[in-house]
Amino acid sequence: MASVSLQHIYKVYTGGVVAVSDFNLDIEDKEFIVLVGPSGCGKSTTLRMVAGLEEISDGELYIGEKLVNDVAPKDRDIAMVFQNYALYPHMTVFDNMAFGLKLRKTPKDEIKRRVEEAAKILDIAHLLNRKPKALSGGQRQRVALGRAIVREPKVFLFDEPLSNLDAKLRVAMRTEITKLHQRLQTTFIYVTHDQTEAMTMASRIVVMKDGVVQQVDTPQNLYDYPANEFVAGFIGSPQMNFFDVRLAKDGQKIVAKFGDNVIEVPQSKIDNLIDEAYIGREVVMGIRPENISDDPEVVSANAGNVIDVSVEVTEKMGSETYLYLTTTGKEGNIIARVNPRTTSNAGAKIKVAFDLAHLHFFDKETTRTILASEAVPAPTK
Amino acid sequence: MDKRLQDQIEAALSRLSVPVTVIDRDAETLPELPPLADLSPASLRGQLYLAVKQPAMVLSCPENVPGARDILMLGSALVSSLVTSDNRTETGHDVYRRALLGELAGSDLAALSHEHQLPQDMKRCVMVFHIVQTDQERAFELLCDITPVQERDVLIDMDRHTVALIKDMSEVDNLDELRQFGQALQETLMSETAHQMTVGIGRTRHMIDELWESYSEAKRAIEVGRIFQPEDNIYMFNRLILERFLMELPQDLSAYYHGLLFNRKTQRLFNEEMLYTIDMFFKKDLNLSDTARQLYIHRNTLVYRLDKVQKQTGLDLRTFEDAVTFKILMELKKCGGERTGRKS
Repeated sequence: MASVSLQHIYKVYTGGVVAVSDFNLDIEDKEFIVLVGPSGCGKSTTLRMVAGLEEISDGELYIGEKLVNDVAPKDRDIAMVFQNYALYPHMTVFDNMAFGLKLRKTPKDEIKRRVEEAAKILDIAHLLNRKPKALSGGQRQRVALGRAIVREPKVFLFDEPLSNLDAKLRVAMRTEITKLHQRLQTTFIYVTHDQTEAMTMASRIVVMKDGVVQQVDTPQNLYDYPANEFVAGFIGSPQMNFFDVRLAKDGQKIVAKFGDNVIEVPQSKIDNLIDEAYIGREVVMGIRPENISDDPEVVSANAGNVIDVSVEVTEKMGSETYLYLTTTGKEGNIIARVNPRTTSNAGAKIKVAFDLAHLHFFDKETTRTILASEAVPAPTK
Repeated sequence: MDKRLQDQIEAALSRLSVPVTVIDRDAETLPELPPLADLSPASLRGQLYLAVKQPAMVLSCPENVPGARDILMLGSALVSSLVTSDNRTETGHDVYRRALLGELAGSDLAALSHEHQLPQDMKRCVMVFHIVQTDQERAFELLCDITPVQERDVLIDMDRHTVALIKDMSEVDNLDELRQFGQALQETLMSETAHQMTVGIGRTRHMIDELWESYSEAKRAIEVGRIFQPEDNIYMFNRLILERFLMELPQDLSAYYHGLLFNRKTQRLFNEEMLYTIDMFFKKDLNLSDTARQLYIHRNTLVYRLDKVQKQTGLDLRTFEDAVTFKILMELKKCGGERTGRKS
């Protein structure tokens, strides 16, 4: 078990393409860190630099106390689980799990002990004599995990390990990996482009875009207090709704105006603005789909934060319904996640209320939040 | 003839009392000679010449030296003896390597494979492993210790970047198992040495003199696969039929048909997101739900996008025929680059 420290890490390819820029992160021992971001954001490159599969262009990488920039991958005391969970088809499960140890000339007794122990953890002890073709997709994935576990590494690295699985199995394996982390009590670094995976598994999430870290925080803090528009839009599904609004004074009140709509901004948000100069300026307002309600009772009780919308499409998900709405002053749809028993239908003109406690505001140019952080400090583990 | 054998021959000839030099038959500097019959030296401008058949070369020495003819004959015998002895010292691996390269065939291959007890008739397939970065070690050195070969598999060092595995297929159910083997080996190589490799897989062959075909197919699979599926790194020759066919089309024809669908009018429609969506839809065998799940979008969003394509192009990608048309026209663009070494 070990901590991992990335200090001012850069990856620059020949020709000057910067894949990762000034990446700084201290990962505590036993933490479950998830690197998430759209494709090409540099998350896999960062993981591969930790694994030693990519050379670090600049910066320092420590595993435990040891500087490992120039240490070969096999000597870094890490184990990597890849996307393909590929197994040698002619070998039994036991031999597949033992293969890496055999290459390292580990004594036979020790190999046996480690393989059996890992098989027990993964509940595949009864499969040890089978060949891969006799296994289900989930069982194969467990064998691939077992191959990493037997190395007894200080750090586990996962490179989108679930992306080739079907949706059902992906959900099941997500839980398995979380359980595995709790059981092994080892540092996990996990790369995914799926924000749901990141939210459900991580103790801390690193959101990346264009090779740059956008925010590092706990899943809840990222969701509640996104540092910029990108994080706000990336985390959460369906994604946050954004509006180009003008913050204006209306008597004693501050309102956000877009199209024909006027939303009264609560005093708590005004007090929280990092600069009062934003009043009178154009900013971006964000609100998550679940903070928009079409419930008539909620609408009538919140006259100051209601807008008129047209329902374009409704999507019934069973446990909830998504309304795709249009209104003046907003290009494209607003998505609202409402009660599944809603009576709003496509084509209807309705009123919806915004939950003002959950409004977000971003600088139009820098895209950074203009609300002073209310985030709870992230736990160290 | 390899350099090692050539050096050996030249060293032996230089030890004769009269210096005998080797002239390649194809050498441009070769003077005009009368037809050279076997074992009969010919004279030209004060030099004697003698042709040797295997390996093809011409020996020469000054004519005015006493016993020149005999010395030239002796040189010829010496060369033949060195070649024969070299063939005998070849290992089984050397024979396989030369067979894969097409340098050995017919009775020579039969004799050598018999001598080295290499099976003539056995169900085999050639896999090619190509590693680009081999600054420190040859590809073979990187792979020989970590490749879990079975008893009748043979790993052959082809060149600095390339290793061939002649895989015994008697216990392999299908070529997909070779793909899994390739993937597992890629992961092992990556974990152990941080090297990446590309894998090409030829078709199964039985006779030893057919192995060169499987080797050529595996290499061709890598060439074609890199063009059409650059995101992948394992290519199977028998799965690249459409791609190989498209590579055979004349470039102007490819460009014309590609332009029917991909032109200025459709430039905005076929943006990166749309092409990614369509690509995934094809990968998921035209299954709407699976594609939507994989793309993390709602099914209706996917339907909306496909409707948009239908509206602008007339092709309904949910139908097999239109999907095939679209796929072919889309792939044609990739044929533009590589136009040399056309082989199917």
